[in-house]
Amino acid sequence: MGDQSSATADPPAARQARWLGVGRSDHPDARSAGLHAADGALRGDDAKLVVVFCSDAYDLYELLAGVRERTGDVPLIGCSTAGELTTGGPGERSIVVTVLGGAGFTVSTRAAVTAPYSLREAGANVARAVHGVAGCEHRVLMLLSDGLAGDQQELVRGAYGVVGAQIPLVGGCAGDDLKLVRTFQLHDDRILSGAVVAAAIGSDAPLGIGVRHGWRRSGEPAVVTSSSRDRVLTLDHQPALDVYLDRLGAPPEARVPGPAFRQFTLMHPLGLARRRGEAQVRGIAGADFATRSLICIAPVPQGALTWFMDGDDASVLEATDAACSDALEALGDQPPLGMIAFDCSARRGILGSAIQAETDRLAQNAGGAPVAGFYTYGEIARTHGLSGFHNQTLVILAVG
Amino acid sequence: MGGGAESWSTQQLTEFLALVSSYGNAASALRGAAERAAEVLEAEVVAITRGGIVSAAIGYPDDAVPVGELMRLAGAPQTGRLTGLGPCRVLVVELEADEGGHVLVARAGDEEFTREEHDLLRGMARVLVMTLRMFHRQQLLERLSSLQRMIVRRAEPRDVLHAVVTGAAELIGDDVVTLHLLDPVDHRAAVLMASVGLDPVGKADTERTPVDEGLGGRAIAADRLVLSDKHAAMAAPVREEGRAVGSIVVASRRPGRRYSADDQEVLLAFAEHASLALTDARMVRTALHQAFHDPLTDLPNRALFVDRLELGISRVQRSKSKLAVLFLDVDRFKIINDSLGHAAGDELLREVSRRLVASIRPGDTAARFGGDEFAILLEDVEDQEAAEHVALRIIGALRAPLSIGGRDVFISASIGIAMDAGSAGDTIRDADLAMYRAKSEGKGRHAVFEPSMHVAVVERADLEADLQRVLERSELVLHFQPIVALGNRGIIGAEALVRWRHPTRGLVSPEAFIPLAEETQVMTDLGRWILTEACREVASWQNLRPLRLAVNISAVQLQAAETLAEDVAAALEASGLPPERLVLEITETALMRDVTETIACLRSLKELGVLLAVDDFGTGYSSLDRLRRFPIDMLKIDKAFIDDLGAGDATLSQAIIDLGASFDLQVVAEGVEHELQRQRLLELGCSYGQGYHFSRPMPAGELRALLEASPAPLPLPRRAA
Repeated sequence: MGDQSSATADPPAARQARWLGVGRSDHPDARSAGLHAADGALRGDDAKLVVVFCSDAYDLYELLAGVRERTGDVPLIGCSTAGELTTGGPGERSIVVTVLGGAGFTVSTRAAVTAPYSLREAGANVARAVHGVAGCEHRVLMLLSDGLAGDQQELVRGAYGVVGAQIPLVGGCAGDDLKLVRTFQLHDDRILSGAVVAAAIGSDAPLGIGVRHGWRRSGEPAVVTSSSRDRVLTLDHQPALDVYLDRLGAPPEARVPGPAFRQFTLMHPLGLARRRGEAQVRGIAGADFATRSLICIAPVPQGALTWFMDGDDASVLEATDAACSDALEALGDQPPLGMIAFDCSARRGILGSAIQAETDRLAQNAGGAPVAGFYTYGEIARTHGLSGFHNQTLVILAVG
Repeated sequence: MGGGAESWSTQQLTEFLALVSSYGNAASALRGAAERAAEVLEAEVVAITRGGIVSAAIGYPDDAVPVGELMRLAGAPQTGRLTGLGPCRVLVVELEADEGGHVLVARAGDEEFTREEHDLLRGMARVLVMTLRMFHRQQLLERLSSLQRMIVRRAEPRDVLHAVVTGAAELIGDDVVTLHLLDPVDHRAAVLMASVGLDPVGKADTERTPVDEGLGGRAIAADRLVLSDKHAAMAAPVREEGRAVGSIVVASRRPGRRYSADDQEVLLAFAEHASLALTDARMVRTALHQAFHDPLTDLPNRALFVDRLELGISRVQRSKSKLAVLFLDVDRFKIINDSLGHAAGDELLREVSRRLVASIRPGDTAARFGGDEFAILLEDVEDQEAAEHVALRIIGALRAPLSIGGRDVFISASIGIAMDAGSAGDTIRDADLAMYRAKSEGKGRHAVFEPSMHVAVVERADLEADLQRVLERSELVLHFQPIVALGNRGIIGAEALVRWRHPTRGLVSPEAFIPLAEETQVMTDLGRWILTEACREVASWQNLRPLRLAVNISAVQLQAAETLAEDVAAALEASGLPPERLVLEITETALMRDVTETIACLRSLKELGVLLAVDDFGTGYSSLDRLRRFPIDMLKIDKAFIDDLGAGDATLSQAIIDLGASFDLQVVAEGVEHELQRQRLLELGCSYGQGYHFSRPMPAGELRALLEASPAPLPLPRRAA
């Protein structure tokens, strides 16, 4: 169900040349946009991997043709987005192309459709791309998936079963400019939907991952005493919606269906307690006021301990800094070649007009290195344990 | 983790149980359990070891699980480094105390596992063991049910016993399993029937073992499961019809192997299935009974009857005694079955069989051949008269009313008698022929076989062949029997009756060929011809007198409703006969075959404007309710009731005439033969009749002449509005 492209590194030598370039275009013509963005990203010879983040407003075939006209048959993965970002700021209806190149990188890509296979099988399938980077000192598996296709933690489990604890997973779920209808995944010359594409990246230098959301715990945690996939029925044996509203002291207007409730839930996700690091955020998509249950963006396992989360612009931006510094810490003293950001589209919703501040912080942390990213429908980052699917979170991959 | 902590681990365990028991087999449950443990404890590596192997591992590519390292760590947990994980903390709990299994969890970094996490993992291990036992149990049930299927399918006993020992070996997980049965001749020794895990030498040694030696013999003697004191071995008895006739022995070469209560239970389950297979011999005998008996009445079936008859014939030939076969057919059974329902029909057959058995001697055989056919084998009868005597006794016994579904049903039976004809087949055939003769001579009778009956059979075959060509040879003619007003004897109509002018046989009566035509599907063509011809003929008389034409419609025609309606319409159109002058007569029996279909058919006929009459009324078992649902215009009283009228019994005729009046139906009496009957019918309120008393059926020309000569007609009777 998958296929594979590879770009093999030359025999390892100490610190071989590596480069990372980012190009962007919002040219209204798809082919031209593809050409321009690719031109911007091709900073050197020996390109190894092309990563495309683009709006699905474009004619994707034309767009991809434009990129491939410049990059040739260099392995390519990509996806449609809910907005693109670079150090230049956030944007929409644009294309951001990242190219990794140089002998110090080894890359192998795969794509798999989920149906009729399970997400777990699809995850396992694309994860076999790591066989193409065996022997590399530093490795990461980047996954771009269709977040509308089901429980992404299953995808993570499938991939983990193949790569094991040694190779971290990073990535995000494709978007469709918040239409929530259909997202696309790109692999070489193909445009897929309901699929997952992956690039196993091997490097001579460290690859760092930072995962932060910036939400703060509020009050005491509750146990998920009854849940069914993404629906939380009871917390501490009480109707989940009531516990949620009471514990967070929701104002009266947010206690009934309507915009106030939606805004309240956007600012107050659930946080699944983790032993290490921050709580794992589960965004609230809505509620069933009749059964008093909460509907989350991703499954919430029964038995989990959950916090009620609180946040504001400041905490969101603090998280941006923290994610960057976590990712950069892995690079030691070396400055990054660049960073790739998988930023939840909900965070953008929270920041609103302050979103420019976030890209500014990213640029600042990158210290002049390029940054490419997109606004996602869910983020993937597994660095410890097995849980690797996040909501309302920022995931940073720092390439050393 | 605050106040929710206790509840947290309880909840995690509940969730864990739900998860692991949702898997279809042990392997995927182990994998799922490891994954879940890793997620809950935020560990990178989880490994489950059982019986010296790693059964599941999370955190490694499938082809790179460091088995040796994990096994070592499981045995002696310590903090250290794990391949691919680096510095980590390791937590190990026991899985199954007696199996030496473990669950190992490794978490990168230096954070210790808490007490709570330790307890949770132990809880998970307990839940996992429980689930694995459940799978084991399921596997056991599957094995046992496959054994049961083998037994039911009557697999070779040797194959069943082999499946028993392999199943026990698999489920108990041991090295050697043997099954011995007592030598049927010498009970002091047991013979090896099936085994697994024995080498050829071992096999030769245990091929035949003295019962007073060894564990197997002890199990037989004690008739219960026994455990060895010295070795890892146990034995359970195998029984046949409750008696210990052998044993299964399980033995292990594993040092320190002890058999748990579960293991013992499994062995007993397999021993019981071996017992089942042996006891199956008894089931074979049961099956034998079923193969030779009629399930409805439990009487012998045809196969057993033939067998006994053959035996009887060979005995007769030796002893010069006599035997007779009675062939019995319940008269009009089909009518009863159709009108009262199949359940009532079944009940009736059971009652008939009871009365039959009660009417014969214990040594005689009554059998059911199927449907309403029974046969009786009388052995050692003195002569034909003695057989006839039995037949009369049976006929008498069946004459008493039967209570079926709360109502009294009167039946009769026709019996054919044949004395030994040298072979079973010939004797039965002769009795069958005699039965047909009895039936054709009037029901509720018996007839003794005569060789001339064979001739009748041949004749019937000839007739059947000729019937196929009757239309193309134009051999059919119509006769008409006048229907009169009983008061003034004026002719108001005529019933068309078909006759076959056979080139060699002369005039053949409809009773002789209509049933044959119905059986051979000639009836549809024949019926169409009668309709067309009769309408044409009677239409030509309408200038003489407006007469009503009655035409009999056969059950076969009624079943092809569309064709019938088309034929009637075509006949009316071609002849110009007004539809209200045509009466279609349908027998009560034919009406009752499929009430819903029949009503639909009758409605389509009524739409043509014709009248409908129920012929031979009173002979079926139709209920008033059903009668009310049919769109009929008249009733014809069967000749049998008119005969009774002559004998002074007017009960049934009166009932039918009253019924007609209350349903606003015209009533026509059939078979009026005497003046007395005419007068009685008039008194009872019946206005119309037909019969020899008025006129016999006559060719069309004769009737036309009669009409031309007779005085002016009365107006046609009309149905009251």
